[in-house]
Amino acid sequence: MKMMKAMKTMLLWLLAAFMLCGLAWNAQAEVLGDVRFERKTKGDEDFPPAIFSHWNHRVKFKCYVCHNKTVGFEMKAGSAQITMALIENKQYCGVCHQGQPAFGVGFESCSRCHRK
Amino acid sequence: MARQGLPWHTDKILRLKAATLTHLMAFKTTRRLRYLLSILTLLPWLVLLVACSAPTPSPLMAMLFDMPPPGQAQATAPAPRQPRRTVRQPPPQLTISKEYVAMMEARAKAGAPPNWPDIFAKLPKDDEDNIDWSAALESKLITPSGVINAKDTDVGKTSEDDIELSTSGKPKRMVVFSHKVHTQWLTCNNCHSKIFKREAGAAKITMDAIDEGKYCGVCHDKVALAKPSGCKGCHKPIKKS
Repeated sequence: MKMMKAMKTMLLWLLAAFMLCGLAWNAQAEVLGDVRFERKTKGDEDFPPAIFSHWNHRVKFKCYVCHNKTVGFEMKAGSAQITMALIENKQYCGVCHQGQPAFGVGFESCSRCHRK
Repeated sequence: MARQGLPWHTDKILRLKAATLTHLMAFKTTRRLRYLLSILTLLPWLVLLVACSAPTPSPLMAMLFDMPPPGQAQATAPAPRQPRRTVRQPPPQLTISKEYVAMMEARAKAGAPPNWPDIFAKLPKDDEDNIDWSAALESKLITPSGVINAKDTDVGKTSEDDIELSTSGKPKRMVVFSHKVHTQWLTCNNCHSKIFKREAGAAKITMDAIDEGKYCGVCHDKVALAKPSGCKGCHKPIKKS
């Protein structure tokens, strides 16, 4: 009986921890430096446009890794005309996001960029 | 069975004679057969010898061996040969599951994906609850790389000189631009010469221009913040020495 109670409390704690994690994730939905790309094609309402978050890229890389002539990102947000075709062609985001070193384009990874 | 008028042994003699005759006849036949057989066995070898010693491939060779007759080109690709018994192929499900296992193994090898909420929670925050990047760098909590792949060469350059930007108003609130702080993240051509000319003091920076997103405003208040936030981040009161 005591065991059951202990297990129940543990489960509750775990649930609480998960919820807190979720809250933390929601809380950081808007961070300074997030770039919400404007969708030029139709279907904006059905499918959210991509959001680039500067902060988690800054944890790993310096500015000039992407802001250079090779990768082609200018210092002005939205100046790059990014399309999924270009990404799959290993341009812009696709320089890294091709499976290695960062996650690639796939049905399981759409919502990692296209989020609300 | 005795014959009449003949001695008793005639029959026996006759029988013996017949036997000998048959025997002789049989012997002769076997010898002939043996000759015939020996010739028959030798003949193909002879034919082969003749065919093989001919300088050019003869139609005989083509008949005997698996080769094209003279004048016809050799087929470039050998005829596909199927194994006599059916080789068991693994079922497609097994191949798919093997691929899946390989993918999972590669993922395990790459290490756990970064726990971003956890990283975000650990990053130091400033007085307005934005990420304090310079503190994160100082504490070595993050070590941002200047290259995508570890073996590439880092093209980033650093500079140490401070630029005193002349101010129209209060000289005590003069902005001192620190190259050192900025080159922790940026390299020369990020700002020069598109945003700022290389000559110090060439740009006439105003707060209005910054608010419009020019000069410092290209990054500041968009991805970067001065520390502390607000005016004092850049317009630091200079202590009298």
